[in-house]
Amino acid sequence: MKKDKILLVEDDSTLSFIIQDALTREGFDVECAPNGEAGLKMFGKSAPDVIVADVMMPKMDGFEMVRLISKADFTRRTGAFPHRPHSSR
Amino acid sequence: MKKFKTITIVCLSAIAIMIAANAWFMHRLYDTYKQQYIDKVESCVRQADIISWISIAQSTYNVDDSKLNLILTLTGDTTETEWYDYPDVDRKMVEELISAFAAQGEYDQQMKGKNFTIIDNVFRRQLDYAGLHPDYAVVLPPDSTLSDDSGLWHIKFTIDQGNTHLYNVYISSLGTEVLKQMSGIIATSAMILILMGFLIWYLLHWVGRLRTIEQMKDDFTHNMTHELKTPVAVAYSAADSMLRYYDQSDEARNKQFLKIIMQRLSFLSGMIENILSMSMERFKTMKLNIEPVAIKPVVEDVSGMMGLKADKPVDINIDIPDNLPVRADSLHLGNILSNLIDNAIKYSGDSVNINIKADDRSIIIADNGIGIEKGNLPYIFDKFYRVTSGDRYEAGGYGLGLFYVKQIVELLGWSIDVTSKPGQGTRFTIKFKSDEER
Repeated sequence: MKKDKILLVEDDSTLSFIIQDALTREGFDVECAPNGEAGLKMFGKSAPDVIVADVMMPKMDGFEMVRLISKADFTRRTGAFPHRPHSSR
Repeated sequence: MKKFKTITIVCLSAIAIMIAANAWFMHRLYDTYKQQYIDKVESCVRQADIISWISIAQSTYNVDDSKLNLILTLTGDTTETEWYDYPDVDRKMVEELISAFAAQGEYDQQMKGKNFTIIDNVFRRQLDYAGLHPDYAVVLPPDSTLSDDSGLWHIKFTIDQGNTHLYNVYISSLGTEVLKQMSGIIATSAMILILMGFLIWYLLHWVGRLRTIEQMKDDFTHNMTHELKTPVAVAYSAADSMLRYYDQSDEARNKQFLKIIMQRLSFLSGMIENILSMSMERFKTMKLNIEPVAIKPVVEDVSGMMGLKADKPVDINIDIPDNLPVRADSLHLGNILSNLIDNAIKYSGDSVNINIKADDRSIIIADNGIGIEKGNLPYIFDKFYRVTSGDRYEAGGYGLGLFYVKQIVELLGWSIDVTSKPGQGTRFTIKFKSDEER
Protein backbone atom coordinates (compact mmCIF):
# COMPACT_ATOMS: atom_id res chain seq x y z
CA MET A 1 0.00 0.00 0.00
CA LYS A 2 1.25 3.43 -0.88
CA LYS A 3 2.08 5.63 2.08
CA ASP A 4 0.22 8.89 2.55
CA LYS A 5 2.46 11.83 1.89
CA ILE A 6 2.72 14.74 4.31
CA LEU A 7 4.35 18.08 3.57
CA LEU A 8 5.69 19.56 6.79
CA VAL A 9 6.43 23.29 6.68
CA GLU A 10 8.25 24.53 9.77
CA ASP A 11 11.04 27.07 10.17
CA ASP A 12 12.55 25.67 13.36
CA SER A 13 14.75 22.82 12.15
CA THR A 14 14.73 21.01 15.49
CA LEU A 15 10.97 21.03 15.77
CA SER A 16 10.75 20.01 12.14
CA PHE A 17 13.05 17.10 12.87
CA ILE A 18 11.02 15.97 15.90
CA ILE A 19 7.70 16.14 14.07
CA GLN A 20 9.15 14.40 11.04
CA ASP A 21 10.46 11.65 13.32
CA ALA A 22 7.04 11.21 14.93
CA LEU A 23 5.08 11.26 11.67
CA THR A 24 7.48 8.79 10.09
CA ARG A 25 6.94 6.48 13.04
CA GLU A 26 3.21 6.80 12.44
CA GLY A 27 3.79 5.46 8.95
CA PHE A 28 3.69 8.61 6.82
CA ASP A 29 5.98 9.69 4.06
CA VAL A 30 7.18 13.10 5.28
CA GLU A 31 8.82 15.89 3.32
CA CYS A 32 10.03 19.07 5.03
CA ALA A 33 10.24 22.69 3.92
CA PRO A 34 11.76 25.49 6.04
CA ASN A 35 9.30 28.26 5.04
CA GLY A 36 6.17 29.03 3.07
CA GLU A 37 7.98 29.83 -0.13
CA ALA A 38 9.87 26.53 -0.14
CA GLY A 39 6.69 24.75 0.91
CA LEU A 40 4.86 26.18 -2.09
CA LYS A 41 7.59 24.96 -4.47
CA MET A 42 7.66 21.53 -2.87
CA PHE A 43 3.88 21.25 -3.08
CA GLY A 44 4.08 21.55 -6.86
CA LYS A 45 6.79 18.88 -7.09
CA SER A 46 5.59 16.21 -4.67
CA ALA A 47 1.79 16.68 -4.52
CA PRO A 48 1.30 15.76 -0.84
CA ASP A 49 -1.94 14.46 0.62
CA VAL A 50 -1.75 16.62 3.72
CA ILE A 51 0.12 19.80 4.57
CA VAL A 52 1.09 20.55 8.15
CA ALA A 53 2.33 24.12 8.40
CA ASP A 54 3.59 26.48 11.03
CA VAL A 55 1.85 29.85 10.97
CA MET A 56 4.64 32.28 11.85
CA MET A 57 7.49 31.76 9.43
CA PRO A 58 9.97 33.95 7.59
CA LYS A 59 9.61 34.78 3.88
CA MET A 60 6.00 33.54 3.66
CA ASP A 61 3.77 32.68 6.55
CA GLY A 62 1.56 29.59 6.78
CA PHE A 63 -1.73 31.32 5.99
CA GLU A 64 -0.35 32.97 2.87
CA MET A 65 1.12 29.67 1.69
CA VAL A 66 -2.13 27.79 2.22
CA ARG A 67 -4.06 30.55 0.47
CA LEU A 68 -1.79 30.33 -2.57
CA ILE A 69 -1.90 26.55 -2.59
CA SER A 70 -5.69 26.37 -2.41
CA LYS A 71 -5.76 28.83 -5.33
CA ALA A 72 -3.50 26.58 -7.39
CA ASP A 73 -4.98 23.25 -6.27
CA PHE A 74 -8.08 23.01 -8.49
CA THR A 75 -8.97 19.53 -7.32
CA ARG A 76 -9.00 20.71 -3.70
CA ARG A 77 -7.70 17.31 -2.89
CA THR A 78 -5.14 18.44 -0.34
CA GLY A 79 -6.02 19.18 3.27
CA ALA A 80 -4.05 21.75 5.21
CA PHE A 81 -4.06 22.72 8.84
CA PRO A 82 -1.94 24.95 11.01
CA HIS A 83 0.04 23.29 13.71
CA ARG A 84 0.53 25.01 17.01
CA PRO A 85 2.02 22.41 19.26
CA HIS A 86 0.17 21.81 22.51
CA SER A 87 -0.98 25.35 23.15
CA SER A 88 -4.05 25.14 20.95
CA ARG A 89 -5.13 21.72 22.10
CA MET B 1 -4.41 55.07 15.59
CA LYS B 2 -7.58 56.62 14.22
CA LYS B 3 -8.17 58.50 17.46
CA PHE B 4 -4.70 59.97 17.31
CA LYS B 5 -5.32 61.26 13.80
CA THR B 6 -8.62 62.81 14.88
CA ILE B 7 -7.01 64.52 17.85
CA THR B 8 -4.23 65.87 15.65
CA ILE B 9 -6.66 67.20 13.07
CA VAL B 10 -8.92 68.78 15.69
CA CYS B 11 -5.98 70.45 17.43
CA LEU B 12 -4.48 71.76 14.22
CA SER B 13 -7.81 73.10 12.98
CA ALA B 14 -8.42 74.74 16.36
CA ILE B 15 -5.08 76.53 16.07
CA ALA B 16 -5.76 77.47 12.44
CA ILE B 17 -9.18 78.89 13.33
CA MET B 18 -7.69 80.83 16.23
CA ILE B 19 -4.97 82.27 14.04
CA ALA B 20 -7.48 83.19 11.33
CA ALA B 21 -9.85 84.81 13.81
CA ASN B 22 -7.00 86.69 15.40
CA ALA B 23 -5.71 87.88 12.05
CA TRP B 24 -9.16 89.06 11.08
CA PHE B 25 -9.66 91.01 14.31
CA MET B 26 -6.17 92.45 13.99
CA HIS B 27 -6.91 93.54 10.46
CA ARG B 28 -10.11 95.26 11.54
CA LEU B 29 -8.33 96.92 14.39
CA TYR B 30 -5.59 98.07 12.03
CA ASP B 31 -8.19 99.55 9.69
CA THR B 32 -9.81 101.38 12.57
CA TYR B 33 -6.53 102.83 13.71
CA LYS B 34 -5.67 103.81 10.16
CA GLN B 35 -9.01 105.54 9.70
CA GLN B 36 -8.56 107.42 12.96
CA TYR B 37 -5.14 108.47 11.82
CA ILE B 38 -6.34 109.68 8.45
CA ASP B 39 -9.18 111.55 10.13
CA LYS B 40 -6.67 113.34 12.30
CA VAL B 41 -4.52 114.23 9.30
CA GLU B 42 -7.57 115.52 7.46
CA SER B 43 -8.54 117.71 10.37
CA CYS B 44 -5.02 119.13 10.32
CA VAL B 45 -5.36 119.90 6.61
CA ARG B 46 -8.72 121.53 7.29
CA GLN B 47 -7.17 123.81 9.89
CA ALA B 48 -4.38 124.73 7.54
CA ASP B 49 -6.90 125.37 4.77
CA ILE B 50 -9.04 127.61 6.89
CA ILE B 51 -6.11 129.65 7.99
CA SER B 52 -4.90 130.09 4.43
CA TRP B 53 -8.36 131.20 3.38
CA ILE B 54 -8.42 133.70 6.16
CA SER B 55 -5.15 135.01 4.84
CA ILE B 56 -6.62 135.36 1.36
CA ALA B 57 -9.81 136.84 2.70
CA GLN B 58 -7.97 139.44 4.58
CA SER B 59 -5.72 140.47 1.71
CA THR B 60 -8.66 140.55 -0.77
CA TYR B 61 -11.42 142.06 1.27
CA ASN B 62 -9.53 143.62 4.11
CA VAL B 63 -11.68 141.78 6.59
CA ASP B 64 -11.40 143.70 9.75
CA ASP B 65 -12.24 141.25 12.36
CA SER B 66 -10.32 141.10 15.54
CA LYS B 67 -10.69 137.37 15.73
CA LEU B 68 -9.46 136.84 12.19
CA ASN B 69 -6.58 139.14 12.86
CA LEU B 70 -5.68 137.26 15.91
CA ILE B 71 -5.73 133.97 14.04
CA LEU B 72 -3.72 135.39 11.20
CA THR B 73 -1.15 136.73 13.53
CA LEU B 74 -0.89 133.39 15.12
CA THR B 75 -0.30 131.61 11.81
CA GLY B 76 2.76 133.70 11.26
CA ASP B 77 4.12 132.82 14.65
CA THR B 78 4.84 129.16 14.95
CA THR B 79 5.30 129.30 18.69
CA GLU B 80 1.70 130.21 19.43
CA THR B 81 -0.86 127.55 20.11
CA GLU B 82 -4.22 129.20 20.51
CA TRP B 83 -5.29 128.54 16.93
CA TYR B 84 -5.24 124.88 17.79
CA ASP B 85 -8.57 125.44 19.48
CA TYR B 86 -9.93 127.13 16.43
CA PRO B 87 -13.62 127.49 17.21
CA ASP B 88 -16.29 125.87 15.08
CA VAL B 89 -18.17 129.10 14.59
CA ASP B 90 -15.14 130.63 12.88
CA ARG B 91 -14.67 127.64 10.65
CA LYS B 92 -18.27 127.93 9.60
CA MET B 93 -17.73 131.52 8.74
CA VAL B 94 -14.68 130.73 6.68
CA GLU B 95 -16.45 127.91 4.88
CA GLU B 96 -19.12 130.41 3.93
CA LEU B 97 -16.39 132.60 2.62
CA ILE B 98 -15.03 129.73 0.52
CA SER B 99 -18.49 129.02 -0.82
CA ALA B 100 -18.81 132.63 -1.78
CA PHE B 101 -15.54 132.42 -3.68
CA ALA B 102 -16.61 129.30 -5.41
CA ALA B 103 -19.93 130.84 -6.38
CA GLN B 104 -18.18 133.81 -7.90
CA GLY B 105 -16.04 131.52 -10.03
CA GLU B 106 -13.01 132.88 -8.33
CA TYR B 107 -12.02 129.65 -6.77
CA ASP B 108 -9.43 128.58 -9.37
CA GLN B 109 -8.02 132.03 -9.53
CA GLN B 110 -7.77 132.33 -5.80
CA MET B 111 -6.23 128.90 -5.55
CA LYS B 112 -3.27 130.12 -7.52
CA GLY B 113 -2.82 132.90 -5.08
CA LYS B 114 -2.88 130.57 -2.16
CA ASN B 115 0.16 130.61 -0.07
CA PHE B 116 1.24 127.00 0.15
CA THR B 117 4.08 127.93 2.42
CA ILE B 118 1.56 128.97 5.04
CA ILE B 119 -0.60 125.90 4.45
CA ASP B 120 2.34 123.58 4.63
CA ASN B 121 3.72 125.21 7.76
CA VAL B 122 0.39 125.19 9.53
CA PHE B 123 -0.27 121.64 8.47
CA ARG B 124 3.01 120.40 9.88
CA ARG B 125 2.51 122.30 13.08
CA GLN B 126 -0.97 120.95 13.37
CA LEU B 127 0.33 117.41 12.93
CA ASP B 128 2.83 118.08 15.63
CA TYR B 129 0.17 119.31 18.04
CA ALA B 130 -2.00 116.31 17.21
CA GLY B 131 0.86 114.10 18.31
CA LEU B 132 1.54 112.76 14.84
CA HIS B 133 5.10 112.65 13.65
CA PRO B 134 5.25 111.24 10.14
CA ASP B 135 8.62 111.02 8.40
CA TYR B 136 7.18 112.73 5.34
CA ALA B 137 4.21 115.01 4.89
CA VAL B 138 3.30 117.42 2.15
CA VAL B 139 0.24 119.39 0.99
CA LEU B 140 -0.07 119.99 -2.75
CA PRO B 141 -2.63 121.77 -4.93
CA PRO B 142 -5.24 119.46 -6.45
CA ASP B 143 -3.67 119.55 -9.90
CA SER B 144 -0.23 118.47 -8.85
CA THR B 145 0.64 114.97 -7.69
CA LEU B 146 3.77 113.24 -6.55
CA SER B 147 5.37 111.10 -9.23
CA ASP B 148 6.70 108.63 -6.68
CA ASP B 149 4.28 107.98 -3.84
CA SER B 150 5.47 104.50 -2.87
CA GLY B 151 5.22 104.02 0.86
CA LEU B 152 3.01 107.08 1.17
CA TRP B 153 -0.64 107.49 1.85
CA HIS B 154 -2.44 109.75 -0.57
CA ILE B 155 -5.35 111.67 0.93
CA LYS B 156 -7.60 113.60 -1.43
CA PHE B 157 -8.87 116.42 0.69
CA THR B 158 -12.29 117.57 -0.44
CA ILE B 159 -15.13 119.75 0.79
CA ASP B 160 -18.78 120.13 -0.28
CA GLN B 161 -19.40 116.39 0.07
CA GLY B 162 -16.47 115.58 -2.15
CA ASN B 163 -17.44 118.03 -4.95
CA THR B 164 -14.54 120.39 -4.54
CA HIS B 165 -11.07 118.89 -4.52
CA LEU B 166 -8.90 121.21 -2.50
CA TYR B 167 -5.62 119.45 -1.83
CA ASN B 168 -3.58 116.36 -2.44
CA VAL B 169 -1.99 115.32 0.82
CA TYR B 170 0.83 112.83 0.92
CA ILE B 171 1.96 111.39 4.16
CA SER B 172 4.35 108.58 4.94
CA SER B 173 2.23 105.54 5.66
CA LEU B 174 2.12 105.09 9.37
CA GLY B 175 2.03 101.34 9.21
CA THR B 176 4.72 101.07 11.81
CA GLU B 177 3.13 103.82 13.91
CA VAL B 178 -0.22 102.07 13.87
CA LEU B 179 1.45 98.76 14.61
CA LYS B 180 3.20 100.40 17.54
CA GLN B 181 -0.15 101.44 18.94
CA MET B 182 -1.37 97.90 18.52
CA SER B 183 1.78 96.32 19.90
CA GLY B 184 0.23 95.40 23.25
CA ILE B 185 -2.68 93.58 21.69
CA ILE B 186 -0.44 91.91 19.14
CA ALA B 187 2.01 90.78 21.81
CA THR B 188 -0.65 89.27 24.06
CA SER B 189 -2.38 87.57 21.14
CA ALA B 190 0.92 86.16 19.95
CA MET B 191 1.72 84.95 23.44
CA ILE B 192 -1.62 83.22 23.80
CA LEU B 193 -1.18 81.62 20.40
CA ILE B 194 2.31 80.49 21.23
CA LEU B 195 1.13 79.11 24.55
CA MET B 196 -1.77 77.31 22.88
CA GLY B 197 0.54 75.95 20.23
CA PHE B 198 2.98 74.76 22.83
CA LEU B 199 0.24 73.11 24.89
CA ILE B 200 -1.16 71.34 21.87
CA TRP B 201 2.31 70.32 20.75
CA TYR B 202 2.92 68.97 24.23
CA LEU B 203 -0.36 67.11 24.19
CA LEU B 204 0.34 65.58 20.79
CA HIS B 205 3.86 64.78 21.84
CA TRP B 206 2.55 62.90 24.85
CA VAL B 207 -0.16 61.14 22.95
CA GLY B 208 2.46 60.16 20.39
CA ARG B 209 4.76 58.89 23.08
CA LEU B 210 2.00 56.90 24.70
CA ARG B 211 1.19 55.47 21.33
CA THR B 212 4.80 54.51 20.77
CA ILE B 213 4.95 52.88 24.16
CA GLU B 214 1.72 51.03 23.42
CA GLN B 215 3.13 49.94 20.07
CA MET B 216 6.35 48.84 21.72
CA LYS B 217 4.41 46.87 24.29
CA ASP B 218 2.43 45.17 21.55
CA ASP B 219 5.54 44.36 19.57
CA PHE B 220 7.27 43.17 22.70
CA THR B 221 4.38 40.93 23.67
CA HIS B 222 4.13 39.61 20.14
CA ASN B 223 7.82 38.84 19.86
CA MET B 224 7.98 37.54 23.37
CA THR B 225 5.08 35.20 22.74
CA HIS B 226 6.79 33.79 19.71
CA GLU B 227 10.16 33.61 21.38
CA LEU B 228 8.72 31.91 24.43
CA LYS B 229 6.37 29.62 22.58
CA THR B 230 8.88 28.16 20.16
CA PRO B 231 11.23 26.65 22.74
CA VAL B 232 8.26 25.42 24.75
CA ALA B 233 6.82 23.83 21.64
CA VAL B 234 10.12 22.16 20.77
CA ALA B 235 10.78 20.85 24.29
CA TYR B 236 7.18 19.74 24.56
CA SER B 237 7.23 17.92 21.23
CA ALA B 238 10.53 16.23 22.05
CA ALA B 239 9.26 15.00 25.41
CA ASP B 240 5.93 13.99 23.89
CA SER B 241 7.64 12.07 21.12
CA MET B 242 9.96 10.32 23.57
CA LEU B 243 7.05 9.19 25.71
CA ARG B 244 4.89 8.12 22.82
CA TYR B 245 7.54 6.32 20.80
CA TYR B 246 9.69 5.19 23.67
CA ASP B 247 12.51 2.99 22.46
CA GLN B 248 14.98 1.92 25.09
CA SER B 249 17.38 0.43 22.58
CA ASP B 250 17.78 3.63 20.58
CA GLU B 251 20.07 5.38 23.01
CA ALA B 252 21.34 7.90 20.47
CA ARG B 253 17.82 9.16 19.80
CA ASN B 254 16.95 9.33 23.48
CA LYS B 255 20.06 11.30 24.22
CA GLN B 256 19.49 13.63 21.30
CA PHE B 257 15.92 14.36 22.40
CA LEU B 258 16.93 14.93 26.00
CA LYS B 259 19.63 17.27 24.80
CA ILE B 260 17.11 19.19 22.74
CA ILE B 261 14.82 19.49 25.76
CA MET B 262 17.67 20.63 27.96
CA GLN B 263 18.85 23.21 25.42
CA ARG B 264 15.45 24.74 24.98
CA LEU B 265 14.75 24.84 28.70
CA SER B 266 18.00 26.59 29.47
CA PHE B 267 17.25 29.08 26.68
CA LEU B 268 13.84 29.67 28.23
CA SER B 269 15.22 30.18 31.70
CA GLY B 270 17.69 32.73 30.36
CA MET B 271 14.89 34.57 28.63
CA ILE B 272 12.76 34.64 31.74
CA GLU B 273 15.65 35.95 33.76
CA ASN B 274 16.12 38.73 31.23
CA ILE B 275 12.47 39.70 31.36
CA LEU B 276 12.45 39.81 35.13
CA SER B 277 15.66 41.78 35.42
CA MET B 278 14.29 44.20 32.88
CA SER B 279 11.30 44.97 35.06
CA MET B 280 13.66 45.32 38.00
CA GLU B 281 15.45 48.14 36.16
CA ARG B 282 12.54 50.36 37.12
CA PHE B 283 13.77 50.56 40.68
CA LYS B 284 16.53 52.88 39.58
CA THR B 285 14.15 55.54 38.36
CA MET B 286 11.28 54.91 40.73
CA LYS B 287 9.97 57.89 42.69
CA LEU B 288 8.61 57.40 46.17
CA ASN B 289 5.78 59.40 47.61
CA ILE B 290 7.21 59.96 51.07
CA GLU B 291 4.88 61.26 53.77
CA PRO B 292 4.23 60.59 57.44
CA VAL B 293 2.55 57.20 57.72
CA ALA B 294 1.05 55.76 60.90
CA ILE B 295 2.78 52.42 60.99
CA LYS B 296 0.39 50.41 63.16
CA PRO B 297 -2.63 50.37 60.80
CA VAL B 298 -0.37 49.40 57.88
CA VAL B 299 1.06 46.48 59.84
CA GLU B 300 -2.39 45.40 61.01
CA ASP B 301 -3.82 45.51 57.49
CA VAL B 302 -0.99 43.53 55.98
CA SER B 303 -0.93 40.99 58.81
CA GLY B 304 -4.66 40.40 58.54
CA MET B 305 -4.39 39.87 54.80
CA MET B 306 -1.42 37.53 55.00
CA GLY B 307 -3.02 35.55 57.82
CA LEU B 308 -6.13 35.01 55.69
CA LYS B 309 -4.11 33.96 52.68
CA ALA B 310 -1.94 31.48 54.56
CA ASP B 311 -2.66 27.76 54.28
CA LYS B 312 -1.58 27.08 57.86
CA PRO B 313 -2.23 28.54 61.31
CA VAL B 314 -0.50 31.89 61.62
CA ASP B 315 -0.23 33.81 64.89
CA ILE B 316 0.89 37.42 64.49
CA ASN B 317 1.58 39.55 67.59
CA ILE B 318 1.80 43.24 67.00
CA ASP B 319 3.50 45.45 69.56
CA ILE B 320 3.47 48.95 68.12
CA PRO B 321 2.46 52.18 69.88
CA ASP B 322 -0.65 53.85 68.49
CA ASN B 323 0.01 56.85 66.26
CA LEU B 324 3.65 56.03 65.72
CA PRO B 325 4.52 57.82 62.48
CA VAL B 326 7.34 57.08 60.07
CA ARG B 327 8.28 58.97 56.95
CA ALA B 328 7.62 56.50 54.16
CA ASP B 329 5.68 55.66 51.03
CA SER B 330 2.66 53.86 52.44
CA LEU B 331 2.19 51.62 49.40
CA HIS B 332 5.79 50.41 49.40
CA LEU B 333 5.88 50.14 53.16
CA GLY B 334 2.91 47.79 52.93
CA ASN B 335 4.69 45.80 50.21
CA ILE B 336 7.84 45.52 52.31
CA LEU B 337 5.88 44.22 55.28
CA SER B 338 3.84 41.81 53.19
CA ASN B 339 7.02 40.42 51.62
CA LEU B 340 8.63 39.86 55.01
CA ILE B 341 5.50 38.35 56.56
CA ASP B 342 4.94 36.22 53.46
CA ASN B 343 8.49 34.88 53.78
CA ALA B 344 7.98 34.17 57.47
CA ILE B 345 4.86 32.15 56.66
CA LYS B 346 6.37 30.40 53.63
CA TYR B 347 9.57 29.32 55.34
CA SER B 348 8.07 27.73 58.40
CA GLY B 349 6.71 24.46 59.62
CA ASP B 350 3.08 23.48 60.09
CA SER B 351 2.31 26.69 61.98
CA VAL B 352 4.14 29.91 62.67
CA ASN B 353 4.37 32.68 65.26
CA ILE B 354 5.34 36.11 64.05
CA ASN B 355 6.20 39.02 66.33
CA ILE B 356 6.17 42.52 64.94
CA LYS B 357 7.56 45.23 67.17
CA ALA B 358 8.28 48.85 66.38
CA ASP B 359 9.46 52.05 68.02
CA ASP B 360 10.51 55.38 66.58
CA ARG B 361 13.89 54.00 65.49
CA SER B 362 13.15 50.59 64.02
CA ILE B 363 10.71 47.83 63.25
CA ILE B 364 11.43 44.17 63.93
CA ILE B 365 9.73 41.24 62.24
CA ALA B 366 10.68 37.95 63.91
CA ASP B 367 9.41 34.44 63.28
CA ASN B 368 9.90 30.98 64.69
CA GLY B 369 10.25 29.39 61.23
CA ILE B 370 12.91 27.18 59.72
CA GLY B 371 15.56 29.90 59.66
CA ILE B 372 18.38 30.49 57.22
CA GLU B 373 21.80 28.81 57.16
CA LYS B 374 24.61 31.16 58.06
CA GLY B 375 26.27 30.60 54.68
CA ASN B 376 23.18 31.80 52.86
CA LEU B 377 22.52 34.91 54.94
CA PRO B 378 24.80 37.32 53.04
CA TYR B 379 23.02 36.56 49.74
CA ILE B 380 19.36 36.64 50.64
CA PHE B 381 18.94 40.23 49.45
CA ASP B 382 20.50 39.51 46.07
CA LYS B 383 18.42 39.61 42.94
CA PHE B 384 17.09 36.16 41.99
CA TYR B 385 18.83 34.55 44.93
CA ARG B 386 16.88 31.73 46.49
CA VAL B 387 17.71 29.32 49.26
CA THR B 388 17.49 26.09 47.31
CA SER B 389 18.33 23.38 49.83
CA GLY B 390 15.77 20.79 50.84
CA ASP B 391 12.05 21.31 50.60
CA ARG B 392 12.30 25.12 50.68
CA TYR B 393 12.41 25.09 46.91
CA GLU B 394 8.79 24.05 47.06
CA ALA B 395 7.84 27.44 48.39
CA GLY B 396 7.92 29.07 44.97
CA GLY B 397 8.93 32.58 44.02
CA TYR B 398 11.40 34.33 41.76
CA GLY B 399 13.97 35.36 44.32
CA LEU B 400 12.81 38.93 44.03
CA GLY B 401 10.94 39.58 47.28
CA LEU B 402 13.85 40.43 49.53
CA PHE B 403 15.66 42.14 46.67
CA TYR B 404 12.67 44.43 46.36
CA VAL B 405 12.55 44.98 50.13
CA LYS B 406 16.19 45.98 50.18
CA GLN B 407 15.82 48.33 47.20
CA ILE B 408 12.90 50.16 48.76
CA VAL B 409 14.45 50.30 52.22
CA GLU B 410 17.51 51.94 50.68
CA LEU B 411 15.43 54.34 48.62
CA LEU B 412 13.76 55.43 51.86
CA GLY B 413 17.19 56.05 53.37
CA TRP B 414 16.79 53.21 55.83
CA SER B 415 18.75 50.02 56.42
CA ILE B 416 17.77 46.40 56.88
CA ASP B 417 19.49 43.70 58.90
CA VAL B 418 18.87 40.02 59.36
CA THR B 419 19.80 37.46 62.00
CA SER B 420 18.75 33.86 61.87
CA LYS B 421 19.27 30.48 63.49
CA PRO B 422 18.33 27.37 61.54
CA GLY B 423 15.44 25.61 63.23
CA GLN B 424 14.67 28.55 65.53
CA GLY B 425 13.64 31.41 63.33
CA THR B 426 14.60 34.59 61.55
CA ARG B 427 14.56 38.20 62.63
CA PHE B 428 14.54 41.15 60.25
CA THR B 429 15.32 44.61 61.64
CA ILE B 430 14.58 47.70 59.61
CA LYS B 431 16.20 50.83 61.00
CA PHE B 432 14.47 54.05 60.04
CA LYS B 433 17.79 55.79 59.63
CA SER B 434 20.67 54.41 57.62
CA ASP B 435 23.86 53.31 59.33
CA GLU B 436 25.82 56.31 58.10
CA GLU B 437 23.47 58.76 59.79
CA ARG B 438 23.73 57.26 63.23
